[in-house]
Amino acid sequence: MALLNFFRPQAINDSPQTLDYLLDSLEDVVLRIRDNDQLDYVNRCWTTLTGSSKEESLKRSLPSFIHPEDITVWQQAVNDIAEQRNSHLIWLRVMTADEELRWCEMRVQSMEQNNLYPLSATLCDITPQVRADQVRNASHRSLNGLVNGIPAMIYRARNNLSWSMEYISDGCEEVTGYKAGQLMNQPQLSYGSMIDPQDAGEVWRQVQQAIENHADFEIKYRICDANGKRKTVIDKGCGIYSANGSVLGVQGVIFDTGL
Amino acid sequence: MVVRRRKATGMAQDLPYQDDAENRKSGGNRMTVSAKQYSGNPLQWLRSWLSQERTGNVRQPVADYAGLALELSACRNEQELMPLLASLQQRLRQIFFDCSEADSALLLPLSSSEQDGNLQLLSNSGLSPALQQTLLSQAQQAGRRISAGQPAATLRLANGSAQGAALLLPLNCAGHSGWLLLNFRGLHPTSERVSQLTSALRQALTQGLGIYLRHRQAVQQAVRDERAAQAAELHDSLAQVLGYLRMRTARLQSLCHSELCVNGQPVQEYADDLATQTLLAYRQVRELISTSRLRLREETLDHAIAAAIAEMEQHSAIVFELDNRCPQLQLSQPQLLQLSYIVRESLTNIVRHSYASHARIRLSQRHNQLRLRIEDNGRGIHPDEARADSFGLKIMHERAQRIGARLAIAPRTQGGTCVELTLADSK
Repeated sequence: MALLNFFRPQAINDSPQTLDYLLDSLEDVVLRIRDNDQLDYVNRCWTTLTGSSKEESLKRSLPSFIHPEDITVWQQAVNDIAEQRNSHLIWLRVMTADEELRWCEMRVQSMEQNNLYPLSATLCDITPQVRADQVRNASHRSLNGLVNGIPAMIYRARNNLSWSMEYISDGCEEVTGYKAGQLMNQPQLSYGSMIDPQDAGEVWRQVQQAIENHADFEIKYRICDANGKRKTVIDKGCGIYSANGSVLGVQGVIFDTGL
Repeated sequence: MVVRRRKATGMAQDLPYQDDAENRKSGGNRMTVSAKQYSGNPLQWLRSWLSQERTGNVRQPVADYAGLALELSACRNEQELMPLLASLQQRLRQIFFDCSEADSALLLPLSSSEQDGNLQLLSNSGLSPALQQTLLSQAQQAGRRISAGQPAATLRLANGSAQGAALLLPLNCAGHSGWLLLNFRGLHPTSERVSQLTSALRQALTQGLGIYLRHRQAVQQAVRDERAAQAAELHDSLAQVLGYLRMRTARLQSLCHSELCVNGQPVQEYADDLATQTLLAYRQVRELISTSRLRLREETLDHAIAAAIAEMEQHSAIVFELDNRCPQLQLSQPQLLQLSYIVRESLTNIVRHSYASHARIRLSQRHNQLRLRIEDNGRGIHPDEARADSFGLKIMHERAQRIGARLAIAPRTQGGTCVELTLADSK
């Protein structure tokens, strides 16, 4: 609380002994906001973030820097502070002078016990993290779209007679007539039970032989799909092994041959 | 039957209106219901009733005509309108209860066929076709003579069956002239009295039909505008290409018959050009079809952009970022349509050709000027590498021109491509 007293205008000068000097050395933005959301104090990092000088910034309100779609986030935070009197953490986009956007994590609170204003806030530029998340999400989304868009059933299964599925792509429906969710970890319905009884033994034998040899397998066999239709599929896959060589499961892709 | 009705009317006159409502519910046996509910001296009532004037004795219904006006205005087409107009018979019977044969009423608003001098018969009380034709013919002539200021016009029936009369009462519904035609084949009130008694009903008809007709006009205008827009698009795109193809095929035809065809070179050039232009025409048809589908789905530009992004995200690992700085943006339908197309085409190009990892779509507005900026961090655009059979950019420019926008496609200084559209008069 003693530190906050240094926010008073008379404490602002460039002397190395002042708090202003200290605040300008920070890599986070420090703001003081008075009523009408008018900016009352900004440190040097704010200028670095927004590209707007201190003088220019102090003539403007904080919402004029916030992306229009995020202003409601700011308003909601102020309302919550007015009701609950505690600090709030929000994410919002700040618009820079060169029209770029910076994602910021803002912590904001009232400076006085009994008054909403002035508010003090710190902003941390989290744009790199947000961008990294976006790239990760886009990569996952793209891979998901790729796997589920292939007209075949990509799978990872346990190495048992039921071939209990841990993961199945959306192509499952095209091959088996069942949706992926119907076959995953469902004890009452297994892929193994769909394999023609005349072929099931041979499928098991060939897969186990391939696993034993750490080789791939490619098997053609018949299944009975959800509509009771018999069809021939090609199953190409391999075993999944732990570092010590024990078998964790099998994975592969199953194509409908159209026969 | 006539006598019973007259008696019942006289009794009902002395009773509150809700008795009439209950009477209607009970199937119309007005005398029975009224007598049950009349608590005074029957002899006194009979004397009072006999002393009343009987000819043309009419009563004003306490009906909620505002409801009728609302129901009429809510109709979307003639199929919904007809049953309502047919139900007018019941209301007319309430008004002219004492007129034994006053249940013949026709409503004849003139709609778009007025210019052709034809009347439309919008409700029919079961008159014989011959009498209908006579009344229509008479109304056709009389309708030209009477104006909305006049109370009514009496029609003379040429077939000699008019012991009563047919009255034509003017309506003015949203600029459409129309008439309420009442046919009395027995005793009837004077035309002034009929006009006075039907004033509330006619007012409701005028209001309700006025709104109905205005709505119908608006729908018809919207359809005309849509057709005009489609015709303009066809004219600007496909028609021009087809016109060019027509000229080139004619030239090719003549070349095939000439000696120039011997070495085959000119023919080859024409054939290549024709193939390119045919591909352009095919592409334009596809765009027109997809544009028509776009029109049906999204209502605002940010929704259209979000839908396009969602679609592209399914097929690529590019990070798409929508930076909408004017969430309250208002655009006309043609502007929305063309901008949606340009965004979709730009995003498609980014996915197909840019090799980018990021794409950003920014909407901003300043001084009534909308700026749409679509940029990526890919390998940039190289005009020299443009394929002869690629028409996407050309169509984008055409789309921008159609709404008076300026479109610039250029490499970004930081790498990648920037498509920037400026629309001066966005609302």
